[in-house]
Parts: sequence; structure tokens; C-alpha cells
Amino acid sequence: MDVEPRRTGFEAVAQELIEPLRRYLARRTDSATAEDVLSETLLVAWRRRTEMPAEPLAWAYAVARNCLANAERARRRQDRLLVRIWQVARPPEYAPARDDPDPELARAFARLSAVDAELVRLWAWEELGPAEIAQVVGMSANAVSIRLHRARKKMKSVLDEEGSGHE
Amino acid sequence: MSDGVSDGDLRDRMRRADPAASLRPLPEDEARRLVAGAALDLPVVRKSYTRRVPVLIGAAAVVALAAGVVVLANTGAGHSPDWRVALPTSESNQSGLATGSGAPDGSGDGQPTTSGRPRPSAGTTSVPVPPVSPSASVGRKTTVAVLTDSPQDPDVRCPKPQAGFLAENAGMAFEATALKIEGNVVTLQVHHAWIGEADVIEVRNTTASPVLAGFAPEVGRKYLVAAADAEVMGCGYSGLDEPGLRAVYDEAFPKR
Repeated sequence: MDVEPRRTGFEAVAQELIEPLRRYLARRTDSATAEDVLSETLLVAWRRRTEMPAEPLAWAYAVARNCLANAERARRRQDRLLVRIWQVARPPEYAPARDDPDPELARAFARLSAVDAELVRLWAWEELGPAEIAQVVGMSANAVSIRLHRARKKMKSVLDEEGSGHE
Repeated sequence: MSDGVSDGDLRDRMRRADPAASLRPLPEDEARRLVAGAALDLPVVRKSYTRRVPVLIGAAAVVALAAGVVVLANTGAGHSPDWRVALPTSESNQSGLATGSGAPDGSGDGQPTTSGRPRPSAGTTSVPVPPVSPSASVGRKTTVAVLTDSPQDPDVRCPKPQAGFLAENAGMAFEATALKIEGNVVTLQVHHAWIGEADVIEVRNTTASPVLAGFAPEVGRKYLVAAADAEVMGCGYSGLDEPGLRAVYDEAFPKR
């Protein structure tokens, strides 16, 4: 019943996961939240280390995704009133952040559902294939392939319409 | 124009807009701290680490030191004839987590904070910490030791640590791993307590010296820390986890 635990193995793997996880979180939340969620993600990974697959990256992204969702849910609960005000005040059309490096790309993203946008992010930024993305988001690889294809097509269409291309 | 953007183009464009592109790698010690914290099943340990309601201990004074020299700093009391002033030994440079005040912990039931018996450490840098059950740190109090470093007196020498003296004077004796070093505060996770009860120790070095008790604390390394009257004991009674010092602790506080 000794759970001693391949600690050395975990530490080595965790060290390798830290930077990909930091980038994953930096792309999806603010720095303070990212820091907290990274710590929580490593903690959960440690607790669930026996479930960690030989190729742990997608698994770790899935853990981080859940931790981030939990953190955001908690924050939403705390800031419910503010969120309500923000929602009421939010303009109907996507308004790019002032420092958005590519507003047109951001607008194209805004045309996607949250799930599809995440599939595209995982494909482009985390450089995952459909099977790995499926592991992260909890869908079948086939469904991911189809949705990802449609999402990219939609984004490209939007970018084409805007004539922004990629010059 | 509908085929103007390929998948490759889209990916390239997204990469150029990658919010993480400018993210700099985490410093190695910080990464190690994070992993160490996770392996200890200890949630986020950050600057705002105040939720545990630390038991602040006497900031008044203390001291210790590097080559095993200890001086009562704040009090300016100079040397005392006890462990604070003794002859250095060959182990003197291992001793050292000097002092400060520890939490006035009178519980002293000697119960270990983990179920496992601590193992001797070779002092590696790979976070040699034993696993702790998920609930081990829940609801425990935090002991904060305030450390005050002081100028070393070359004439003061520390004798080799004695189990009898340790047993008589130490109100707390822990095996702990340095989790983080932030500014002048070193945070250590307790794995085993020979006497006293604490989950985390925070040692504050209030001197201008960047080192603690004559050596640079290192995240992930394991230390043995003894405290008497809210002061971390120096002079070889606290320091890196080494078989010799551990034997003194074991002899001073035999398992009941």
C-alpha cells in the first residue's frame, strides 16, 4: 500500500511540463491566474500521477484546462455582479483589445464557438494533432478532426473576406 | 480569394499573435520549487501565503551562524555560554540554519507529521522530499521562525552538537525541505517532527547578508531545524540533513 511514488520520475516529467503548461495558461488567462493555476495543475498532476500516460503533455493540458475552468468558475462566482454589469455593457460586436497584435485574427476567432476556438488554439499554439486535442477536450478524435477542419475553414473565410491575408 | 489563406498561413499568423511568445522561461529554482511544492501536495505557496494564519514568533532576536557561531543579535546580549556560543567543529559549516524565533509551540508531542520515517538525505538538489498524504497539511498551523543573522565572532566556537543538550533545550526539532527562497524569507515544508508540531516553517533573514547562517539556502534541499525558546538553534544544531546531525536528533528524541 505504499504509494511512494515514483517521485523522481514525477519530478523529471513535471519539470518538462512546466514550460508548455505556462505557455498554455499564458494564452488563455491573465498572469496572476496563470501562476495559480499552474501550481494547482502540478498539484493535481501529482495526486493523479498514477494515471499519467507515457506521453503526458495532452493529459497535462487537460488537467490544466480543468483547473483553469475551476479557477474561472470561482472567480465568476465571486465577481457575479461585476460580470453581469460587464455583460450588459459589452458591445454586441467583438471589440479587439487595444494591444491586440492582430485584430483581424481576433475577430475571426470571435466568430467561432468557444469549443471550436479552443480546438484551433490547441492546433496552432500547442501544436497538437487531432488525437491529442481530443484527449485535452474530451471529444473523439474524429469529432475533433471534423470540427477543427470546419473551424479553420471558417476562420480563413473570415480573413479572406476582410482581405487581410497574411502579407 | 476564398482560397487565399492556407492552413499553414493561418497557423503562422496565429503563432505571430501568440500571447505566450514573449513568455520567458521560469528560473530553474522557481520551477524546482513548483515541482517540490506539488510533490509535497502543498498548494500554491506565494507571497500572499497568509491564509494559514502563521504563528509569528518572537521577532526579538536571535542569531546564529554560519560557521556555527551564534550571537544574540537584537538583544545585543553578546555570547552566552550555551549552544549559542561554542566551538566550531568540522561540521560547523553544515550547521547553520540559524535562528530566529520559532513558534512557541508547546504541543511537543513528538508525533511525526508524516507517517514515513525520514530517510537520510545525501543533500542532493533534486528535491529529496518524502510524499505526504493529501491531508497532511490541512488544518495544521504554520510556524514562522524569524531569523536574525549577526556578525560572526571569530572567537566564538561551537562544540560538536550533543544529543543531551538538544533534548534539554529544543522545543522544536524538524526535518524540512526548503520550498522557496523569496527575498529574505526561506519557507520550509516540514516532513517529520521529533518534537513540536508545524507544517511549514518560514525563516526570515533580517540581515543584509544574502546567505543564511553562512550558507546559501537551496530550494529542494533538506534541513534539520531545531529551535529553543523561539529561536532556531545554530552552532551545528540546525543545518543540512546529514547522517551525523540526524543521529543527534534521533538520540535526543528517541521514538516512544
